Amino acid sequence: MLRLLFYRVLGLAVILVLVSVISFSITYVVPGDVALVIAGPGASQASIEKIRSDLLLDEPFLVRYGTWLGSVMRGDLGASAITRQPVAEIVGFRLVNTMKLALAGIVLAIVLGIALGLVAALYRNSLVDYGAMLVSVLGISAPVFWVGLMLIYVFSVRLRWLPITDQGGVAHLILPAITIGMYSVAVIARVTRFNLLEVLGRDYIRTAKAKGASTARMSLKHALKNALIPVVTVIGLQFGYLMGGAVLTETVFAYPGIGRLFADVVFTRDFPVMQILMLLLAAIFAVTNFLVDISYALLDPRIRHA
Amino acid sequence: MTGRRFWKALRRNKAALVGFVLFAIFLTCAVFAPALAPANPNRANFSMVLHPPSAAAILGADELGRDILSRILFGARASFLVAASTTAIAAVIGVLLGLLAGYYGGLVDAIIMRAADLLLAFPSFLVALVIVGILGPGLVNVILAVGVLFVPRFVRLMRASVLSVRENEYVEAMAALGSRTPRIIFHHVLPNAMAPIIALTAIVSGEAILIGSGLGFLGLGAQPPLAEWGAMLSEGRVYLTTAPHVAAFPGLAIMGLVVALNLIGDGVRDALDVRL
Repeated sequence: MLRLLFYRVLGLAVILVLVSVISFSITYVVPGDVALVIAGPGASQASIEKIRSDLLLDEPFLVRYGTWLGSVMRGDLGASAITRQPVAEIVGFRLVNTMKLALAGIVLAIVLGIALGLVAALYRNSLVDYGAMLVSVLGISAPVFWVGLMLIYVFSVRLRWLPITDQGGVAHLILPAITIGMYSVAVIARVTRFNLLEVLGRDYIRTAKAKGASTARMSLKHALKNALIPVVTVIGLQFGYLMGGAVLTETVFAYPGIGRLFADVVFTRDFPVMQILMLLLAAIFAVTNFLVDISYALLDPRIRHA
Repeated sequence: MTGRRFWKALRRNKAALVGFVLFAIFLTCAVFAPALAPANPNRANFSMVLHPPSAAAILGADELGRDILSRILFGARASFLVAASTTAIAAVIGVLLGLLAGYYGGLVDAIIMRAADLLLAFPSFLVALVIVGILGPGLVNVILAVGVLFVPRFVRLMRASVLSVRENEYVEAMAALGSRTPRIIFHHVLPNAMAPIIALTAIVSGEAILIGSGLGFLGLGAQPPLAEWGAMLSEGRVYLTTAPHVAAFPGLAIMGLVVALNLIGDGVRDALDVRL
């Protein structure tokens, strides 16, 4: 277990370093002069020179990367190329908002997804199963932004049950959470059903059945525990997906999070903010995958002792 | 897995059959859009602005009075273009790199696989967003971005196929008998790996349409007045309270086509009995 932990931590460190190089390097692959791109059409020569010296554009790669990473490590995330506002100030509260949204989405996905998959597997090939699988195919196929708009139309415009935009409180989180979590509900339901059916076909389940364990008790106690191990991996991957889905969900609901911020800076070509956001999101993704790997090992003794 | 057994298993799968039928309908719409469309998809008609669905316009009209059904029919072309070209890019590059990695192993393998891991280290929608952000908006750039995004999936699949085929004794025997490497690859490794690649292609095309229309929704994809489902939805968003049909129908079209591709992908995967 210790050895495994060591290699996983090493792997995480390597990924984080490479991710920081890539995030930093995006300014190199922009066609044309970055300073000109940021300054926009009709900018004065002086302001272009100012951007050039601020971003150290004339220095060699290693100097620029080193300086950038050094200040990021010290907590100095730089400033927006457009509004001059410190990046930490722009990102801070939005990150908290997105985390709230992603967390609500993933909790919903885990609860609903596992329940749906469990019911489908227990009543295999019945109408319940077909219904659950139909819902899950629609869930992985529906565009996030369309689901969001339709939910707004039905629940906010027609029924007037829920607020459309951010008013604070829990109510404003409900529709965005359903929107962002829907895809994950569908994926988790499919994986849960698939693995439960596989486990239910194994010998030890038949033994438990022969010993007189009732179907319900058996499926919950014996089967679910084993079937859930692959589900954990999927949940980890879904968290990364939620970070991407946040861009569209937050845009639809005008929710002040880093997803919408990301779309905005892509439009305005605000590279200093874009670099930090890429680094941040990839780091969250990498750390989640790391935690999933570790919990996977804790849940499955075969991996722990390998 | 022989070809005939595969088709038999696939034909028995009712969900996959539904997928094929749906897919055929959408393909017909895309190919024959000019003949099927009741109106010119780009012609504004100010007497029809935000007109709800009626006999005059089955799916209603948008904020410029353009016929929504006609725009959806023509929009199918953009979606098929995105799906086909992104998967073609991803499959060709991915298969080639996967073959190299699996066949040569060692340093080549290590470099290719670490690069693939790195691309997978970023959430996929964000990768597409950043690439389009760098290249600038437009349908061609969306295709490039989403194409690059899916390369690692094909690399991994192809590499695994090569490794499993290479273990076969007849491949070792051929090498021992002096068969040249390209011959082994093209006559034995590639045909054996074709089926899982087709399943992956179907699944990936669905994702490509979702990501492509998502970028279109953000205004980064096809530029007006070209009919594209994601962009249509984003135009309709403003009129959600008074004319929900403008946003509703393009979304249904996206979902329908992606459902078709997912059902086909699932069916092919189950018929092959592989996990992707």
